[in-house]
Amino acid sequence: MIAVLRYELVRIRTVRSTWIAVVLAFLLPLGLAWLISAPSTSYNDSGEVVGEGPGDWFGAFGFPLSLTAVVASVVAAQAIGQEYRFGIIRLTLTAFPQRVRVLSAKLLVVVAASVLLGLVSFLGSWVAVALRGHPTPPEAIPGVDTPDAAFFLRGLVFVALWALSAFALAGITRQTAVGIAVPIVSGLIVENILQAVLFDKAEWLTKILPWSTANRWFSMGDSGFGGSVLPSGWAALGVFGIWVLLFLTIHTLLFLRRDA
Amino acid sequence: MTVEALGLGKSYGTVRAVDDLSFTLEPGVVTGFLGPNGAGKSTTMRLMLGLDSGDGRTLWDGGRLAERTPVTRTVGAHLDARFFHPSRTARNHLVMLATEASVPTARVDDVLRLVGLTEVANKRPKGFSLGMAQRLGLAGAILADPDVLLLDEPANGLDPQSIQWLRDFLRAYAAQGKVVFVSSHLLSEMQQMAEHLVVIAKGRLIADEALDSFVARSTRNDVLVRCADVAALAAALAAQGIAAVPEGVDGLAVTASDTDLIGDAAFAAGVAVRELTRRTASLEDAFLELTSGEQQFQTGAGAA
Repeated sequence: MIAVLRYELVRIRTVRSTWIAVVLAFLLPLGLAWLISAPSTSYNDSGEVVGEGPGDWFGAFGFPLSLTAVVASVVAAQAIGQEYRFGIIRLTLTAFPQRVRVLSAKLLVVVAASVLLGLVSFLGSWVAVALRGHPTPPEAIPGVDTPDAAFFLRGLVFVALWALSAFALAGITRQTAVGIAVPIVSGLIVENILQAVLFDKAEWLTKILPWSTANRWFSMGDSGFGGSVLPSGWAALGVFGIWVLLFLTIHTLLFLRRDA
Repeated sequence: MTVEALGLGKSYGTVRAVDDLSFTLEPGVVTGFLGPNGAGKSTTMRLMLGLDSGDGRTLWDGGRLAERTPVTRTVGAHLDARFFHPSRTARNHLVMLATEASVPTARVDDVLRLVGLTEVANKRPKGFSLGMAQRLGLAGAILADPDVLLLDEPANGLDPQSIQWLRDFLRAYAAQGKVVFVSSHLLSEMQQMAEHLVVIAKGRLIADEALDSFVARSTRNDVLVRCADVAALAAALAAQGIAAVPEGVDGLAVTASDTDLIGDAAFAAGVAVRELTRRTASLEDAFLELTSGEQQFQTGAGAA
């Protein structure tokens, strides 16, 4: 198992796209967090400026993570999709005939890389808010979301699960592009349409859509389209986790059985 | 180390690509793997390596490949020249492959030098010619100095000098007591490289024998006799039960390998002999003869 893990680590660190992903995981959150963490101006009822408050720390760390998840999904989808595309899977499985070990090593490396990219993303966000003059979280304000340890942990789990979904889809279809594109298209477009269509017909279904539910990982509230109640926080990740488990199960069965 | 393929079989839908194929690869010799296009050579190699699912099994010194760790010290396979990531440098590609058997990086550099890729070791192989890609694939196969080499069309795209180098290398590798199993459609090369042949057609075994005995089976092994009186010599040979077919104006193609016998018959018949030449079939002759009508995908001319 150690040998196949080393193989996977060499594989992932010797392609340029991995390092591009790391740079993007830093720069994209940095830029986005810089915009989000701009000091907010407060006005009184007459419209006069009464002061400036600290930027949105919660948003500065939370929103960029959606981009980081996409970046992580590229790394994850390539971990299996490019092996098939370039035929390297045959070299891999010749050297390591025990397919369970190969798949386990790939999963471990994908999770580790995703968590690393998540941490890099947080670092980029922190640099931005620090440059804005708020290197430490603002004091808790009643009614205002403030990131805590659980928030950051959920963020890392979100990135890892998103990447695993991309990995599984790329493995099922043996297409890197499918692993990257399906979560984005489904999460941003298809599932939003489904939510609009289904909320008064089968509301329960809107609560179990995979990627749009995953996107609610940072949500503290539970309001959804048309006032529906949607899972948030750990519950959202739980729903998404079940989907990811399903995708991974299908991928595993196919990986173990089909020709390399 | 011997490699035994036992009852290998594989179907794609209703097509039986490999059908109950059994053979043994012995150490110390280069074994050529021949067959027309679509005969099932590549599928057979993948079945042997466990990459494809199918019938039968392959024993590596009596055991399964997965039980022999590190696997890459048992077998080095080169199945396709383009099996690499286009943006991973040639050296890193080999460093990655070296991890299974903990091959030191110094060996990676040695192998790159051996296949002549030192100058491009740190370049991305997406711009490699087919010949360079073949060398990289071969480097990956021999990296851990395996007991068995499985090479699928390794000479494709190589220039004549490189083909000669490959031939010499594989013969020397086999001479170390290792198993070398190599498929190629370059029959003239195979004739110079291999000592033993496994020949398949439509997934079935046609021959598993020494190259010399395979070639000797061809009816194109004969003796050309040019003489003053073709009819008289033909009659004299027929009297001894030797078949002869007229060839050209004053020639006879005699299906016998004993030139002394033919010369004595001509002398006894009083026929002046102008030429007596033993003609040996090439591997290509023998291969075409034995696999005629066995092609999976025939050309228009061949099908007519």
